[in-house]
Amino acid sequence: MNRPTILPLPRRPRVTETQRFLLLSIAIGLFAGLLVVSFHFAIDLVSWFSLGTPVGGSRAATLLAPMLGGGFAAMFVMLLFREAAGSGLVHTKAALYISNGYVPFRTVVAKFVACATAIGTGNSLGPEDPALQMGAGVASWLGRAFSLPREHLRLIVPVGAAAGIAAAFNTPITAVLFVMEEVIGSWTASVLGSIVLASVSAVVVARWFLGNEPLFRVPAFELTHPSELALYALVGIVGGLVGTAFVRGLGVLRGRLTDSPRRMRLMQPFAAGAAVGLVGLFLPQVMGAGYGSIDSALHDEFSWRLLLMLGIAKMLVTALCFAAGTPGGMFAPTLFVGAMIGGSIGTLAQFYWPFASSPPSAYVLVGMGTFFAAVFRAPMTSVFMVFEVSASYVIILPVMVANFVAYLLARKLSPITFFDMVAAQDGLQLPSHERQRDAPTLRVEDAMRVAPDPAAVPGAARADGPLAPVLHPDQSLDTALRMFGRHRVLTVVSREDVTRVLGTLKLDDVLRAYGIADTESR
Amino acid sequence: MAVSIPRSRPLTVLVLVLLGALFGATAFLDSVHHEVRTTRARDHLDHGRERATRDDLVGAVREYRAALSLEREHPEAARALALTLLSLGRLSEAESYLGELLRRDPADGALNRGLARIHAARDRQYEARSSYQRAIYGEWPGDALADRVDTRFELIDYLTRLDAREEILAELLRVKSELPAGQTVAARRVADLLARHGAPELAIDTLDSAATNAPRDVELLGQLADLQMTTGRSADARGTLRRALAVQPSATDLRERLTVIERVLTLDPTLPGLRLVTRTRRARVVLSAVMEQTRACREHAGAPPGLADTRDEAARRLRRPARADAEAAEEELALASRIWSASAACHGSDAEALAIAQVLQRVEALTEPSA
Repeated sequence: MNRPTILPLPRRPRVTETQRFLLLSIAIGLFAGLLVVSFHFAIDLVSWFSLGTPVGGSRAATLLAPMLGGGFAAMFVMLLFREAAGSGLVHTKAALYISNGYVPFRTVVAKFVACATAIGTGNSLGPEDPALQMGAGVASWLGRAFSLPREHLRLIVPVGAAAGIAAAFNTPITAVLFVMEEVIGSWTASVLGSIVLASVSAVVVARWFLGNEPLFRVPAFELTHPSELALYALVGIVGGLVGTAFVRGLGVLRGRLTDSPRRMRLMQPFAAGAAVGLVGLFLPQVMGAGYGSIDSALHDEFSWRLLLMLGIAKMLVTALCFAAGTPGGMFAPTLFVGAMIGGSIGTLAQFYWPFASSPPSAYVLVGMGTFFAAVFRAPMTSVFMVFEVSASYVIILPVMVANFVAYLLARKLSPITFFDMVAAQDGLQLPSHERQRDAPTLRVEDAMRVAPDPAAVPGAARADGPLAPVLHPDQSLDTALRMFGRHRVLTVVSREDVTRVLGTLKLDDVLRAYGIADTESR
Repeated sequence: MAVSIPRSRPLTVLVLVLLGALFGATAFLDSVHHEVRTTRARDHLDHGRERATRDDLVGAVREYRAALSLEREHPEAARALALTLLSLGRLSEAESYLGELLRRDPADGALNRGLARIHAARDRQYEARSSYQRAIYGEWPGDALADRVDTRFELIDYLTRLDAREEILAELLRVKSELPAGQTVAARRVADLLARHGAPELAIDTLDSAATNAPRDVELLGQLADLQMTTGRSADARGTLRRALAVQPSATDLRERLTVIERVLTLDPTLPGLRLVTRTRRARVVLSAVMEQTRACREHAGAPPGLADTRDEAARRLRRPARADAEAAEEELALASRIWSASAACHGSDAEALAIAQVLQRVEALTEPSA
């Protein structure tokens, strides 16, 4: 009699640590997404109940709300939650490079309350930078809750930052790029997957509540004449010049205001809010983040004069608010200023450009990117941001031209970026990713000794197998350094043919290339 | 990446609970946000409509914008804003909103008509034509037929500006075939346009059909009679005017027109079916009547040179005995025309003068092609 076969029960799938980390990234994305959506609702509700609809409808509210809202929000932060003051991105970078990924959860609460109050009452600042910090704060809190080791806690902070900014802008690609470009400063494959997952889950949450529409509704248009690229380059030049001037002016203003006595510091946000209110009486469009006004500019609502006036006024009130310490970010105002400058150029082009030109809305979009590129020096982010917030692929070519013109011009004119300047003013020595990107990489070919005769090289690689690890000329000296161990000489071989010896590399050669070896030891 | 994450079931559960709680809080905020937003947007839309009815279009635009700033996908507010901007002549802005709305609802008749007006104003002829056609065949709320006919007339007006006669006639034929019974005002307009664009027979046909459905419409009958007169169908015109007078006997203008037509019918030598003798006699009567009507012009200070000679020649002819000669009749009619046109300044405006003018017009119309 045959015994019945007993099938083994399926085993519970084993979740690896990597998968667990990815799941944690999704959780971070969901938390950050929900938080940022609530933040968005809170700003709107504060705005509707303090300023009314439409903004600028009540003169008393227009004058008083930003002063009181911004003033008390800043006081709340300055007196009770100092870690929530200033730029969210700088604090996130500080958490990453200084405090091993530690962002206190109270920062998230403080940032939420203070920024919703300040921005909702019309102060000229944006919600994205606070959203980034809130995302980083949530990630840090979750990381601590799961007792992540210190080195991994640092990894989780940019993941949360990406989720926060992705939900705020409804732009997953831009968020990934921005965090890679500005927070981490390099394309590290180890966290890329987590950042992507967190961004996507945050955007899914945001779209669940806020809808699938992009941030801006862009009227249909096309690049009508190739010569127009010259006009877009002009937008880039103007954006680069104005952006640089804006960063410099803001730096000077912030430096002076920060140096003032503490009592004065507390009064500055009230004064900045009062200034916003005064300007808002005549130009209510400059109040708050200003996305509604960008949308209006995209729909040809403003004349070129008004566009220009709005751009200038927004720069002034934003600089005042930010320098005074009113809680809020700089992304939205930057997009606003760029949009208005671009729009005014585009409107003028319709009259004076001899060839056919696209509608002003195209220039509004391009302008947004140029100012962003010039101020934040994140060229790739600026290109993808315009692409994602408008969901318009037609614009990609003009945006690429204009943004890179603006970026290169801003780099040429000013050695320091906006975030580096803010960090320096806050007394933080954070790495400048732009400088890191620009720093030349020393390669093996810069230090190796070229072999006149491969056969004469001791320890050279042969077809029957190398005696020591081999290097290629294009590899970095950092890599080479890691390969010295028991070997005093490393062989440099061709990538095309590993049996072809190109030269040798000694430790002394490497040190000399770095400029730290004694030349006599040669 | 090898990251060591401690496994803790209670912690995972706690995180999930917190996630749920945050979701609940966000959903609550969402409902409050939605409630406030929709209520305020609705209020602004209502205020905008109120202002629009009071002709405060600028105020209406402000309100519609406020509604859209709260609910940017509000279709009614966007639609109202686009059409009000168009009324205000802010074409660029209106165009961007219309384009956006049409991307969502390409078949909307009113929006397509709005866009067509913008294209027309900017001399984008192809786009204007397409948008008008889309509007005509698009969807209209309420009385779609009236809106479609109005749009068709608007297109015809636009085509008239472009002097596109063939397209105009094509559109008129379409609107003629689409017109339902009882649309007399539209039918009269179609007939008028057909006549103006060189299709009087089609115009008569249109009015005839309309008159069948509206036999007591005196204005329509009067227009039909005029058209019949201009095409030389004087007898039909007399019948039509008699029908009109039967409906409204007190209509003096109709009676005067009838008098003219009756006189034309006794004078006109070109009427079909007349014998040569009658035609010759009528030609002489016309010449004689012209001489009588222009008698005063003989001594007129501004009389054109040669008029006296022509009159003398006509007088000589009238003194000759009448003959049944087609050539002589044509010559007499030609003389009558020359005298009539040379003495245009002193024509009377009585029924006799109007009848002579119509007869000579008819004669010229018939002789021109052979010339």
